[in-house]
Order: sequence, then structure tokens, then C-alpha cells
Amino acid sequence: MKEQFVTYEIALKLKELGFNKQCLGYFKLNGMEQHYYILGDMHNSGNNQLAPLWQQAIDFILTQYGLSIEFNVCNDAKFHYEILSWANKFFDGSICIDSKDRDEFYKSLPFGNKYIAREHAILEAIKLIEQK
Amino acid sequence: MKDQFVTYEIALKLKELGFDEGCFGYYSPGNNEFSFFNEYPLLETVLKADNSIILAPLRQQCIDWLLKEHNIFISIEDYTFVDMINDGSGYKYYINVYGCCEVGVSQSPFFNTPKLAYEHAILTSFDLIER
Repeated sequence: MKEQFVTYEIALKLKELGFNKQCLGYFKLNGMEQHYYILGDMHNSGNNQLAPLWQQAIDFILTQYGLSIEFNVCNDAKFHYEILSWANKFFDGSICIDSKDRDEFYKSLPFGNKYIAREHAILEAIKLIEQK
Repeated sequence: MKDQFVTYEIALKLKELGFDEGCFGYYSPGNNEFSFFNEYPLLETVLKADNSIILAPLRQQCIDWLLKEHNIFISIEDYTFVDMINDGSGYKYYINVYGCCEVGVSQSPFFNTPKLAYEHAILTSFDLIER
């Protein structure tokens, strides 16, 4: 079940970006290599690092930063992702009524499976947020 | 945290379709009550031993299971700022069944949240499986 949670690297970056929602698990910090999960609803607990689910990470990036991470599957069963945003069209708070084209910040090369694509996509989205 | 899990309706259908992977939660049959498994390390034993419960997968588990077992790929797309007068606004889904068929975003209604779009997409996928 560990695979249901983001990596420690992503969890740390999400915390820096303000993620502080309830999680089912956390990384128990005991040296650099210790990853320990425990079940329960919790917010940040002491020195332990919250472990968001993959879906929580994607939802957080969308709701807090307006970046939509979307996945596609190609004809050869390879996966790629796109990171899109409407944000630049709304910098003045107006409502867009004439465009269906979103700002495409990043489109990836194909990946062999969805899980690798997902990890890369989240890291790329975090990078984009940090660059803003 | 309950909103991270699929609904009772979806969980029940998944059980009928043979889903029996490790889960963090379950529904009690009859009253639809959601509960967490108390001790995760015992989970694999619990779910094998008690077939009367209805496992409650996370939304991402359900999506992954549909891909793994039925080659059904689901993606949600953000149309929250499309023309609200002519096109509507919200989230839409896309379903691709490898080498078989697809349900394009043009066929998806708008949903207020990604969660609702996912749930509708999952139920639509069940229809595709049963066809």
C-alpha cells in the first residue's frame, strides 16, 4: 500500500508549497532512509512528514495553484502528461468567453507506464510553481 | 478523509467485478457505513478473511485497477473557464478502452469537481465492461 502515497521527495516539496491537509499516512523521520506509514487521519504531526496520496497531490496543485495535470494514453499504450492552466487568461479577474485554448506549460515525452508519468508530472508541476 | 475513497455504489460494483486488493477502508454491507481498517499491517489478512465487507478503494486505486484489469484509461480534463454561456464550465472526463473504443470529452457532461467527474467516469466504465 505504500505505493498509494507520493514519494518522500514530493511530500517535502508539497509541504513547502503549503500542503497541510489530512493524510492517511506519514513518513516517520528517523534518519534519511526511514519511511514508515501509519493509518489515521492527521495533519502535520511534530517532526513527521505528512504523506499525501497521489490524488491529493494532483488535487492540491489544481486547487491551490491552478495547474491541471492531465494524462493521455497514446496508440502504442505509452502515457504522457500535460500541465495546463487557465490562470494567465485571468490575470485581471475577467471571465474568458471566447477561447477554448488553455495555456500549455508543459507536455511530456511518453512514458512506459502511468505511474512513472504521474511522478514526473507532479515534480514538473512543482518546478513550474517554484519558478513563478 | 472519506472523500478520498470511492462511493458505496462504486465499491459494491467493484466487488461484483472481482476487486479484492488491499484497502485502507471498507463499507459495512446493508448500512453503507464507512470505516477504516484499524491496523494496516493486518489488512491483507482482514480482507481475505472477511468476505462480507465491501472494500473501499481510494479513487486512484479504482482508476489503476480499471487500467490493469480492463485496459480502461480514465483522465479528467479541466474546462473550468470555458465560455459559461455557450459551452458550460467544469471538469470533463475522457475514457479510452485500448483497441476498442473511447468516450471523448465531448460526450462528457460538465462536473463541478474532479471527484464528481471521476465518479461518473468510473460508473460509465462499468457500463463498458458489462456490455
